[in-house]
Amino acid sequence: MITGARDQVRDWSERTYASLTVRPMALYGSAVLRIGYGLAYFGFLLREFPHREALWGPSAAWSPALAHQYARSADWYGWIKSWYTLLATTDDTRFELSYAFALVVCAAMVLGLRTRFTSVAFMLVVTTFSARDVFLGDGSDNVLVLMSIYLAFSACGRRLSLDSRRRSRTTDAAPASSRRLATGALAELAEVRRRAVTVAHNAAVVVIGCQMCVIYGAAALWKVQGRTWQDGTAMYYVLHIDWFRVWPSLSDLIAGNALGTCVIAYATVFVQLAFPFAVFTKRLKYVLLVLLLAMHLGIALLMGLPVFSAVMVIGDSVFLPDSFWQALGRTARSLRRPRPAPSADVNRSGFDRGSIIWKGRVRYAKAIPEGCPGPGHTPGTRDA
Amino acid sequence: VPDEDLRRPPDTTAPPDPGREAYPEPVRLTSRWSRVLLALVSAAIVAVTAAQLAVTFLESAPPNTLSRHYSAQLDWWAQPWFVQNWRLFAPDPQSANTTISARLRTGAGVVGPWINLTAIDYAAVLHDPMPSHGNQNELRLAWGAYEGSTPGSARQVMLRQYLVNFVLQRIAGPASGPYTGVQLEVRTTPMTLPDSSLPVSPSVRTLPWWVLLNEGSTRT
Repeated sequence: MITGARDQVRDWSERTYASLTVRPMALYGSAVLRIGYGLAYFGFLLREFPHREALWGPSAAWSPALAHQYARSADWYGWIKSWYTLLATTDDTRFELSYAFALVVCAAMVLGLRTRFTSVAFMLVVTTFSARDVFLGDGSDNVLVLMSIYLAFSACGRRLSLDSRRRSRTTDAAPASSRRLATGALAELAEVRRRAVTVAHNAAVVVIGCQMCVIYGAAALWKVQGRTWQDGTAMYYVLHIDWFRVWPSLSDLIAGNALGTCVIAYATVFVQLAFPFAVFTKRLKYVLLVLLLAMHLGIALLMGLPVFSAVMVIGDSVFLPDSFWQALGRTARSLRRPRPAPSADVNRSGFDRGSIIWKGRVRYAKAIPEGCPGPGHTPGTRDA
Repeated sequence: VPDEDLRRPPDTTAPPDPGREAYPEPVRLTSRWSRVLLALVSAAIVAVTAAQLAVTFLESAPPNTLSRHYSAQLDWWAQPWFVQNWRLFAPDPQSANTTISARLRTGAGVVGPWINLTAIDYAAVLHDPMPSHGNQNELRLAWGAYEGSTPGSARQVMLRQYLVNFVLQRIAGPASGPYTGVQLEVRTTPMTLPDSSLPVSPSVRTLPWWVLLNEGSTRT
């Protein structure tokens, strides 16, 4: 008995170690995060483009001098202070160039171009913009700073990226076994590096998932201490905060319904509280993800916080398995298939043709079991 | 010793993974040193991850025995990039609206009119599906941070300068002369529930003049 248990433990730890070192998890999930956060920050920087000077420029209210003084007074290492104040410049040209650089980095992040470097640059962009005036940022900036750091440790460029497209091309061109034939100390060292990258990626994905759970868990547990969340009037107050009244008549309409706002307040607390535990379940997880999506849509529209909502929804998506994204891709492609000349469309986008996505579809067609909705089904008969 | 990752047969039931071809099957680690190296690196990454998760949790939780005991270490790790603040409208959302007005004084002693800064922000936020941080956050958070800072602290002096710069940025015209003073007036209007019969009376707080010094600093 004891020997059996010991064998089982050894077996389990060996399998865990093997999957930790050679199986990168959520490659699609992390790619979706990369695209989503890249888009969110790109949109944010575009939105603030007319206000960039007033918010972060040399003439900003939180002046470069104040930013430097703030960092100096902090108890940090010198290199962190330098990093923190990287954007706090009095030089207009340098600031404008930094802004252009930030936009380019966000675009490269969305496309997945040289992601190893781009993801680190994205982290630099998000952290330095946030640190330029730390009193300017809301929850969206806080989440984005954390996620951009975590993503820099992940292999978020291996799917849905220009990198993966290029790699699959070059791999096709080279003899498939060329890499495996390599032996010797250097080849082993390269393999150790590759597996270490996998470990770091898996760690990053775990940290991102835990971060989302901590956000929701903490948000819920802070709320349950509040009188207004207890008596169900919290939503009434939230909807009357002038800074967040984008559509006052709509806010008033909802705030005027005492029962409705009470239900929303309680539902918000319970959904947030349940989320960290529900992610370990198979079905409840999806129910809560949909409810959270609805909650964030409401926040985005009613309170004028679209970036915050987008950042949270994208973070939630880390809990969707890769099979979900693959199925979504198949559905999207099968919807596009009946079109007479898809090649022209694909060519223009330049993204699908000859890429991994295209190959994936062709191969997948053989692997789909009978009766599953797949590429063979037309949209009209899909639900039949 | 069998290679650990080849013990498991490849999962043939799984759909072929698009892009798989870019990542060939792992090379066997045959030598002892490479296995030890990988184990060490993996252990280090796992340890850092565990520490990060612990810090994430303790920074998000209310101050407790554990976080107070390790507050120096927590700050060392979490500042400035891993700050956690998830009190989103909690424990209670604000139950009063704040209106902040400002006026300027010139060198000749001429005092300008009160200008409602928050009204400018509210007007900008209204019907904008994606309001700017400059209208939705800047004054709100600057004032909140100023109010929350210790009177007389270096932090409060910096935040005072921030507010002054903000006021000058917003209402000082380009043709205006040099200003010598800034004054803020903060009007707080409590929100009342529809069934409440309590009378609503805004409280007005007029701050002392902040004297602008030549070198871009202020004093009270």
